[in-house]
Amino acid sequence: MMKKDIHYPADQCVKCTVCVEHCPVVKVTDKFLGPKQVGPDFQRFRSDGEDPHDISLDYCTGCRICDVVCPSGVNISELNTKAKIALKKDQGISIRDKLLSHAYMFGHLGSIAAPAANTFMKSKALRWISEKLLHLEKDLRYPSYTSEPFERWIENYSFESEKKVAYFYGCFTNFNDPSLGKAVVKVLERNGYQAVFPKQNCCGLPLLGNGDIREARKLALENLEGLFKAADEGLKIIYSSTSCGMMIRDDYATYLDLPEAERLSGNLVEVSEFLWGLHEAGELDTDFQEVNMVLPYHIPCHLRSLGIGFPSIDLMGLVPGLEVDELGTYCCGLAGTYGFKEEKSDIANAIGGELAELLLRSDAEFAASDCEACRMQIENLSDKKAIHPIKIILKAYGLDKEDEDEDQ
Amino acid sequence: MNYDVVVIGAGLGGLMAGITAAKEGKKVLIVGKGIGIITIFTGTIDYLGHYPPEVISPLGSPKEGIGELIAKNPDHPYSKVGMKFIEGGVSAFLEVASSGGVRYVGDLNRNFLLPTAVGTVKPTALLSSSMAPGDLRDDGDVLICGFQGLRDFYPSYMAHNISTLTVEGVELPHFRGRTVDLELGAESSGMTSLTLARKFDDPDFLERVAQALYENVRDGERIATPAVLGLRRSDEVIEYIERVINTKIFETPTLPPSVSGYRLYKALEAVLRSLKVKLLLGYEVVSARTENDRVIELTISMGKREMVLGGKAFVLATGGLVGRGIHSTETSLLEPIFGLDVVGPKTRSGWFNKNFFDPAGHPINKVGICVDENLIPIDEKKKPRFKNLFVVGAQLCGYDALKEKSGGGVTISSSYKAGVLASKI
Amino acid sequence: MVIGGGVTGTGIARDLTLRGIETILVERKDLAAGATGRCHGLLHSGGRYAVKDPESARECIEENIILKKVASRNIEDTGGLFVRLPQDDRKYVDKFVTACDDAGIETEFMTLSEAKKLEPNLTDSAEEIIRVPDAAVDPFGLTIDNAADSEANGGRIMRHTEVVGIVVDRGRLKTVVVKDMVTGETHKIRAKFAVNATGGWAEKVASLSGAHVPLSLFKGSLLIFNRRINNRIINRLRPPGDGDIIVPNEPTTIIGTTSIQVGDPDDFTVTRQEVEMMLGEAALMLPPSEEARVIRAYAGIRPLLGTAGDSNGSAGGRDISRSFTVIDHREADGIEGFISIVGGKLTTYRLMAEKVVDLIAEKLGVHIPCTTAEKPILGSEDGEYYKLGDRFDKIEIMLKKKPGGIEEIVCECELVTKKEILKVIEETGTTDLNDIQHRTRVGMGSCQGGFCTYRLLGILHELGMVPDYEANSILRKFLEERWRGIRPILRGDQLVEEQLMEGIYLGLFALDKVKEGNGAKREEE
Repeated sequence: MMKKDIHYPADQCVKCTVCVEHCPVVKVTDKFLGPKQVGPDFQRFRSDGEDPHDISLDYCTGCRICDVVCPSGVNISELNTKAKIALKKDQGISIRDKLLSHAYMFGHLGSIAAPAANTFMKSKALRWISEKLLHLEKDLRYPSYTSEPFERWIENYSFESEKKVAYFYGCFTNFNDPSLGKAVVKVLERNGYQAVFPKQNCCGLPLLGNGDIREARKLALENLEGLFKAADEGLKIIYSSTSCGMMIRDDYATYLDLPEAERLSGNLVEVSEFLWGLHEAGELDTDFQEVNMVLPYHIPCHLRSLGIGFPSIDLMGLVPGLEVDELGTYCCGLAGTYGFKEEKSDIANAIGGELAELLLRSDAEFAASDCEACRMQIENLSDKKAIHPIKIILKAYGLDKEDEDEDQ
Repeated sequence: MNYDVVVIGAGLGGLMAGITAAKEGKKVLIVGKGIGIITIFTGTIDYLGHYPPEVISPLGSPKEGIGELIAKNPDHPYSKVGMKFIEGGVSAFLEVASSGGVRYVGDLNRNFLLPTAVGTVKPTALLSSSMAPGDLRDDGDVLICGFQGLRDFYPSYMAHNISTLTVEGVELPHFRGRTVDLELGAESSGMTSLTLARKFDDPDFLERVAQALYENVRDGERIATPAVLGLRRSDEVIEYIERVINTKIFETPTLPPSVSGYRLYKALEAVLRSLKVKLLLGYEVVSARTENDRVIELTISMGKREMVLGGKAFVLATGGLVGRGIHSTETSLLEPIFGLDVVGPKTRSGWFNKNFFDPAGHPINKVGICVDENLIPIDEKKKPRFKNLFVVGAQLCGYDALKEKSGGGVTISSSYKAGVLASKI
Repeated sequence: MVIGGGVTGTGIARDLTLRGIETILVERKDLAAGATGRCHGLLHSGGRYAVKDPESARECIEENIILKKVASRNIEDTGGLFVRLPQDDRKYVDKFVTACDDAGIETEFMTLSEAKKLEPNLTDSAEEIIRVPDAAVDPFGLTIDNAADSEANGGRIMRHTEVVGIVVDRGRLKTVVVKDMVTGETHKIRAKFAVNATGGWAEKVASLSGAHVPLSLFKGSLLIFNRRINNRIINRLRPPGDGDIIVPNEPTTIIGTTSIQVGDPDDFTVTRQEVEMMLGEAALMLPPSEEARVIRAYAGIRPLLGTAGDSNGSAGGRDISRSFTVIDHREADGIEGFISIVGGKLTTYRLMAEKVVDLIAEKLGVHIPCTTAEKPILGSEDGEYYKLGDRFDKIEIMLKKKPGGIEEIVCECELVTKKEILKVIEETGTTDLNDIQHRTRVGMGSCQGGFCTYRLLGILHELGMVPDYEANSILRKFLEERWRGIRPILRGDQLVEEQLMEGIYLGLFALDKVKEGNGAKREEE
C-alpha cells in the first residue's frame, strides 16, 4: 500500500469497525474508545502543528492488531502511536513510566549483583514501594536477573567460520535469559554460521511505547552504528525477539525520524525466518531427532505485523514427532511495560484471559512464543514453562543437554 | 512457498473456499488484506430473500426461488454454481460452523422471517440458533429487551415500527419494548456490544441478567435482545437464561461491530487452525505472475518484506467493490490483481439510479467478474482467462445481493464449489 | 418583519432589535437553508474582486476586519493564499497587487518553500504566491448567533413558517400571510415594514405583493473532501473563474465553485461535468486532492439583480456586480413599507443589513445609530477565534468526567455528543433531522450519516420526540435526500463507504422492503 501523507489514512477508513471488533482492549474495558475512534476518526481533527489527542489513548497497548485486520489497509496503529507521543509530550512522562522504560539500565545493575538483586525483586519492601509509591501492579513478577549477562558470555565465544551472521540479541536475552542467546548461537553453529555481535543496547521499544522519543532515538543511534557496520559487510542481522525486530526494522524510520534505518530492512531477519530461508535454499541441517510433544504456541502480536508469515511454525513443522498447537490467541495482554502498571494490570490480565484458559486446558509442560513479553505472560498466567521456538530446534539437534545455565 | 490452493481474501468466501479445499486434503494458504465484512455483519446466511429482486414481500422458499432464477437467468452466479453445489454448500457450511463452535440451523426449503432492529422484516435461510426463535411465525408475542448503557439498540423504536408492517399470509405477533437496567454503574455507560457480551462469561452477571429478564417477561412472550448473549459461545448462555425465564430468547443484531458476526468469524478461524490452513492477515497481493492461461505465483507484502506464494490453483475471493477487489476511479472499474475484465455499465452515468430506494437497485451493485460454470473468469469474448483461477462471492457479476438478499448464499455456494474444483487441479 | 432566515435576514433582525425596533423574522425552513448554508464558508479578503470590482473589494476587506472582531467564534483565522500557476497570465499579478493596495487589502509575497512549510500539499508548479487576510467562516453558526442575539434583544424568530401572501392596501404594505409548515395553519401578521431578504426566492416573494425584483439565478456547486488538504484558503491568482477557491471547513476541505444560470431557486442538482471540472482545478493547486476522497456535492443559488442577457451563464454570472442593492419598493413599485435586499455576499451581510436598517430607521424616525460594527454578536464576546481542535477539547473534557464515554458520542466522524444534540432540541424545539444536522454537524462526516442517523433517530424516539410509527419513514426520507448529495461524487474510498452503508440499511435493516403507509397499527404500551 502506498503510504502517503500522515493524513491520508483518514480517507481510507470506511468506518467498518473491524478494528474495533478485534482490538483486545475494547473487549475488556470501556476506558479505551477503540482504534477507529482514536485513530482515523480523530485524525481528521489533527492538523499539522497542533495535535489534539485524547486521554483514552493511554490504554492502547500498541499490539497493532488493528492494522493486521483492517480490510482497507489503514495504518491505524501509526496514527495512534504518533498521537500518543504527542499526548506524552504534553502530559509528561511519569517517574514510574521512566523507570519501566529504562529497564535495560537496571539490567546492568541487576546482573552485577544478581542473587541480591533477585532477592530484592521478590522482597516485600519492593512490593510496598512498587505498589504504593510507583503505582506498579501489585502482584508483580519481575523476571529474574542472571549473574552472567549474555554480553559477558560471548567474550568466550570462539566459533569461527567463513559464513557469518550478525546477532542482535536484545536486553532481555542479555540480562534475563542468556540461555536463549546461547541456543541461537548453537543452532547457527550447527549450520556452519559464526555469529558476530555488533555493539548494541536496548532497542528502545519500551521508551517508544511510553512516549519517550528522545531517549529512544539516542539508543537507536547507538544501535544503528553497529548494525550499519554489519550491513556494510553484507551480513544478515538476526533478531530473536519479534518486538526488537519490529522496532529496528520498522519503527526507527516511522517514529524516530531515522529514515536511514530503512536500508537495514533487507538485512534484518528473525531467527526462524533466517533458518527457514536456509531450508528453502536446501542449506538447513535437517538431521532432527524426534521431539514427541504437543507444544502450545502463541503468535506474538508484533510477529503478525512484521509481515514475515509465521516462520517458527514452519520451522518447527520440520521436527518429527512435534505437534505445534497454534492457540489462535492474538494478544497475551502484557504489552511490554503496560501490564506492569497498576491501572492497566486488570486490563492486561483480562486480555490474557483467553490465553490463560487455553493453557489451562492443555497438559503440556512447555508453551512457546517468539517474544519475551509473551513468555513472561505465559508464565504469569499458567504453570507452563515458556520457551522460544529456537529451543525446540536446539533440542531436536540434541544440543540442549550441553546447556548448563541455571536460568533455564 | 508452494501450496496446492492459494486463496486471496479472508472474508466468508475466502474462508469457506480454503476450508473446503483443506477438507479435500489439500495444502491451503489464505491471504487477506484484512478480515472481511463477515465479522461485522449479522452472521446470517441469506440465500434468496426476495424474487424477483424488486419484490417487497419475502420469499417463502429459497429453493423454489433459486430454481426459478436458474431457469430464467443464466448469468446469475447461482446458475453458474448449479443446484447440486448450492445444496452441497449448505450442508458443508452447517457442518463447518458446528465444528467451529457455533450452531447454525436452517435449510433451503423455507426462509426464516426475522424482525430487524429497526422493526422491518428480514428473510434468511441459515442462521445461528441464537436467532432462530425470532421467526415471526413462531408462537409468542415478543418482549424486546434492551440493556441500559448499550447503544444502538432501541426497543420501542423496533416495537413501534414493526407494528406498522404487514407480511402477506403471516399474522405478526405483538411487540413491546423495555430497557433493562443491569446496575453496572456509571463506568459502563458506554458499552460496545463486545464489552457487554464478554460480561456474560461471569456467572454472577449471567444470573443477574436472567433474573432481570424473568422479572420483565409476561406469560406467552418470548424475549428479543441485542446480539450480546456471550462473546464466543451463545448456546450456553442462552440455555441458562431460558431455564430461568421459562421461555425462548433470541438475538437481534444491530449496527456494527457485531458479536454475531464475530462469533462466526472466530468459528471459521478455529476450523482453519484445526485443518492446518495457513491464514495470513494484513498482506496485500503486490503482483501476480501468470504464464499463458495459468496463474503461477503471487507476491504478497505487508510493506517491508515480500513473500512469494506458488500454487496449483488460486481462488479470487476479494469481495467486489466493498472488499476492494474491484477498484473504482472517476471513470472506470478495474480488477487490480489479474486485470480481469470487469462487467458492468460502460460509463459512470449508468452506475447509479436517481433514487436511493429505486426498486430496481443500482446497476453498480451488479458489477463484477464474469465466470463460466466452473467459476473460471472469462473475458469479454467469453473465453476463459486462467484455467486455475476461480472467482467467488461478491467478486462475481450478475446479481444484486442487496436487493434480492442473497449475499451469503452466493458466497457460500460459489466458494464451496470453487474449493472442490480447485482441489482437483 | 424580516422575510428570510439566511445570514442577511438574521443580520437585519439583529440590527433592528439593537436599534429598538420591534422585529419578527419568518423563515420557511430552518435558518441558513438557502445560499447562506450552501456556500464556501469564505470570509473574503476582497482580493478576488479587487481588479474587476474595486468597490466590492473594499467592502469585503472592511467587513472582513469588522467581522473578525464581532463574530470571532464563527471564524477560523486561517489566512489565505493567491497562487499563480504557469498557465496563468503573469500580468494579472501586478494588477492584483495594485488593486489590493487601492482597496486596503494587505498582501505579502511568499516564496514557494515558505508557502510549502505552511501548506505542504501545495503544488510545486506554483510560480507566485501572495498572502491575504482571507478567513474561513461557519455560515450556520454566524446565522444562528445573529438570530439568538436578536431574540435576546426582544426579537422573535419563527422557523418553518412560509410567507404565502402579502397584502397591500392603497399602496401600503398591510399584512403578511404566513403558513406554519408544521401545523399547516395560516396566520396574518401586521407589520409597518417588511424586508424581503429571501435571496434566490426574492423575485417569487416580491411578486406576492405585486412588486418586481428581476433576478438572474446562478447555481454554484461545491465539493466537500473528506479531510483537510489545506489549512488556509487557496485561491487561483487569475481573473475569477470556476473552481478556483479551496477552503478548509471544519475537518474538511471545500472546493468550488461554478456559475450556471438556472431558472428555479430550488434547483440544487450538481452535474457530473461540474464535479469533473472542480476536481481538475483542485488538483492543479493541490495535487494530493486528485486521489483524495470526496464525500458530498452540493449547490447554492446566487441571486444577482438584473438579467444576464446572454445564455452563457458563466460569463454573465460573473460580470454582474456582486455588490448589493437595496430596493425601496415605494419608489420601484409604489408599495410603501416593502423593501427588498438583493445581491451581495456572505462577507458583506452586516453592511447590507446596516443599509437596510438605516433606510427603515429613517422612515420610522428612529435615530439610534448602527452598532453592529462594534458590538460583538452573542457568543463572540471574548474575541476568540474558532480552532479545529476545539471540537476535540470538548471530547476530552467529557472523557475526563466519564471514562466510558462511547455512549455519549452520537456521530463518531464529527465528534457530536448526545448532550449537544439534546441541547439543540431543547433550545429550538426542533426534531427535524436536517435542523439538528446543521446545528451540530451530525452526519456531515465521512460516512455521511451512515451510523449516526439511525442512532439519532433511536435517541429521539426514546425521548418521545418522533411520532411513534413514523421513524422508518423519516429514516428513509433522510437517506433519499442524502443520496442526492453523494450520487454525483461516488468513487474510490467513498464508494466503498457507500457500499457498506447500503449493507447496513438494505442488508442489515432491510429498509428497502418497506411499503410506505403500511399496516394496521396495533395498540402499544
